[in-house]
Amino acid sequence: MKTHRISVMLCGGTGCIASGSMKLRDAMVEEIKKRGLQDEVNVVLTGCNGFCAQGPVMTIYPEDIFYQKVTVDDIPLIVEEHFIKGRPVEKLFYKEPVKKKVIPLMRDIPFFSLQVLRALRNKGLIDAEKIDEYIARDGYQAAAKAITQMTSEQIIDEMKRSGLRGRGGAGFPAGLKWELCAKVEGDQKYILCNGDEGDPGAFMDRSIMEADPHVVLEGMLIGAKAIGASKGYIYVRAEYPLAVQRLKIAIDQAKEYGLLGDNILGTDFSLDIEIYLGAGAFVCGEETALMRSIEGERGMPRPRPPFPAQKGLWDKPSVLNNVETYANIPMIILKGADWFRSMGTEKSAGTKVFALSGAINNIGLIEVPMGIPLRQIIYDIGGGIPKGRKFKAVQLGGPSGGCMPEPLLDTPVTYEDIVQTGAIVGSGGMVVMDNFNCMVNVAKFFLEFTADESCGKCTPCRVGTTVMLDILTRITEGKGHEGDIELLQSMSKDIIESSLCGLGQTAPNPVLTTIKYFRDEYESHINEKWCKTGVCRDLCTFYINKEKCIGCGACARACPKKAISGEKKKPHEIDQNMCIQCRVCYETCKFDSVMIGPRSMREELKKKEEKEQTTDAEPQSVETA
Amino acid sequence: MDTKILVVDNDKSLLQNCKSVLETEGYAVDYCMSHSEAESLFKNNDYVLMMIYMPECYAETVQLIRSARSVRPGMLISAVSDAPSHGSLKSAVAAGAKNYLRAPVAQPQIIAEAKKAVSRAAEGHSCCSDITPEILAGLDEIIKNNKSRQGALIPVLQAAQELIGYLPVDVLKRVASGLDIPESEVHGVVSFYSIFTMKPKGRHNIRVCLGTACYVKGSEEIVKKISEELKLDVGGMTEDKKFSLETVRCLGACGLAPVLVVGKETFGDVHAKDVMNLLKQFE
Repeated sequence: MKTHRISVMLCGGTGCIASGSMKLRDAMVEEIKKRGLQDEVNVVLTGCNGFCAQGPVMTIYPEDIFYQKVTVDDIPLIVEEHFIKGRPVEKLFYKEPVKKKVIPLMRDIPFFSLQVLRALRNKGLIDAEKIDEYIARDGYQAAAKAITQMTSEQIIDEMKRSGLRGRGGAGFPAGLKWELCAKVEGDQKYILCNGDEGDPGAFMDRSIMEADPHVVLEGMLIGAKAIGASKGYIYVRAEYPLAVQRLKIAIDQAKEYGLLGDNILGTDFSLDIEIYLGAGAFVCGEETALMRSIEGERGMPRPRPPFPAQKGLWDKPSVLNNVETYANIPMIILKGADWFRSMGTEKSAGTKVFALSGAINNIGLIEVPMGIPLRQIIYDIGGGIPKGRKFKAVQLGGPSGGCMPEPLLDTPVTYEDIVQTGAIVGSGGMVVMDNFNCMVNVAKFFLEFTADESCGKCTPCRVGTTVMLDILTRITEGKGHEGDIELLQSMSKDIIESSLCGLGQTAPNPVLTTIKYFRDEYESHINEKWCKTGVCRDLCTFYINKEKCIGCGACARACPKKAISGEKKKPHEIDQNMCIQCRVCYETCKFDSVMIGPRSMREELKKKEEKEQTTDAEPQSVETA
Repeated sequence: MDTKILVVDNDKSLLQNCKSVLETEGYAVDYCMSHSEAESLFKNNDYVLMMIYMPECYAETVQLIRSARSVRPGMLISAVSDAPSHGSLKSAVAAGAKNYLRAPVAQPQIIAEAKKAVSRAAEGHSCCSDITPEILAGLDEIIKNNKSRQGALIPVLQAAQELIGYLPVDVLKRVASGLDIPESEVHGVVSFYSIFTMKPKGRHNIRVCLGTACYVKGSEEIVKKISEELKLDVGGMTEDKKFSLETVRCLGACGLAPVLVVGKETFGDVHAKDVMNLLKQFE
């Protein structure tokens, strides 16, 4: 095997590709050729590195130098300075957002250093399109062990002892699921992989499929051996074209190497895996609905029992696990259940991947031991809240989850602790909200989502979410009245109790948690007609605090309606008749002098303006005369 | 472009009469008496309407209707008969005829039929411009390749949409008959999944992500802006067919929020005030 003096691991995840990493690769390869370094420098397009917001990112080995926000113009500089002269390019280093400290090495950046990589252990280290690189990282060893040396019972026993819980949302123990299915007699069984990552704000499955597609196949191989399946499907969202492409390549390569197909590794075990493209329905993340979708029908859930382990896809015994669950399995088989349990807590073993996004400095994908407090994730790994704003809430578990406020930030992230707060770990989406977000509006956003995505089978979910959405819309438009909060709560209870599947049973969670922790916001919306964040346009009045305003004019320049006027260095004023409550001035002002008042203030200010105009008019006429 | 109509009958004087009636109304009319001639006419001409006489022995006529339906899925086919039997009507409809007219057909009825065909074409039933015989052949190929597969419907629809850009009614019907699935079920699946659309898309399809991360960073404002500037509703297409606008659930590129996709190109960190500038590069 050829060795190189320098390896450039350029991120080729969806995020970095959108930021231009393909152009970077071409420019890099060309520049290297131009300088005659092609035998010394190796450029690898890896899967998602995880630090998406800093993209395009690249890591240079052997030093472990991390470059962020690289442009094509930087390439000659990197080649000249770093590769030839050995001086890394400082301007592309990561800068810590709070103390502005420059950190050259990837392993020293808190975003990376506090993570424990298990499911993501190959991220950024291998070329996702080359099976040899996966194998070089111990790939397919666990599958070989399971297929040639272990019985179904041994695999299931190891899995049960590991305590691995389904990473897709519900957190059902994977080993138990396998055991149920293994015990059922059947001529044909199916092993299925759920890559229909529908939770908005979660992108770990996409990242795993893009960065390390073989680990998914290996996990499925082990599962298939355990339950006795000979056919597998990976159900992937059509919105993830790159993941689909890399999985296809991975399947072809595995077939070529005899790791998929008939008589794998010379045994009588056979497995064929096919990719099935989802068609954009959130409910298909639910296992029975997903199976209906593969059957070519509308993806509507079915009552359980019978469980899919008994009667699943085409009424055959089937096991469905999530992408991240599969990514954990090879290491459990290889290193044992005790190794797996060495991280995490008693009931929530191992690590979990979270997708950090929203109002946070270090947006990206992280893997941490379960049990870590939320605060550490948000402030140490996430680097805190940008633009000097304040933390308000963190939304966990997507539309099925809930919003947790500041006082709950010391909650350890485990399945059992998070549930106590009213949220769920879910698939691991963590969307951070700052003091510019209105929690009533956030609840409305999630209800819009679930009302739209409800499959329509159960009336409480179909009609209930729509009615709740109507109430929330009314509240945000200033038409809320007393009793709305109680009505929302009681409807939530009914929907939770009487819906068939997880979608309906969890749909009210965002509303319930926002009421629980941010009730004052609901009350001010309803009683005072006042959205204190200025998000709900009908419930606010923007005005300028004349004592604070220094007259810099930034707001006036930003205002799309030219509704702000004033002399330089003197307090400005907003014309209430022209203001459209777009909030741009509020976001622009660096001196906190734009204030948000209740709706009723608008009329008062308008009257005052009129009055001033009439009194102003007289002295002006004197001046001109 | 002239609106073309084809009339097939075995009575020449009747055909001439019909032609003169329609021509005074501004339609271009072809007529013929033989089936083979009719076949070559509709293969080479884009008719909105074919009126065809059903004789007592109707087997051959049904064959011709079927062939016309497959070549011109958007064309309205009206069967004319003076002695309609249950059997003849049923087979005509099964072959693809839409309407039945009782002979002799009065002048106003002929004109009404032509108008109906024109308004039907305007509603998008016509595939005159989008659905060429080559595309139909491609669709049949897709159906053929997947027919034996279990759960073929969704993959077939996905491939069909990839080929045509959207799924008009006639395509759904062809898929239904090709896979031997009720039309209602095909429509049920198409209307259930958000990826399928029965409306045509512009040359550049804009998809704005409304996932949580994008939403809290203001992607709704982007939708509003595009919709105002291009006078375009979500799900709609601009008049010049340049842009169409959709909203999507999380694209999984939350690190770049707010995100929008034009065609297959993803743009991150987009703001409402810059979005129109960004769209300028698309022709």
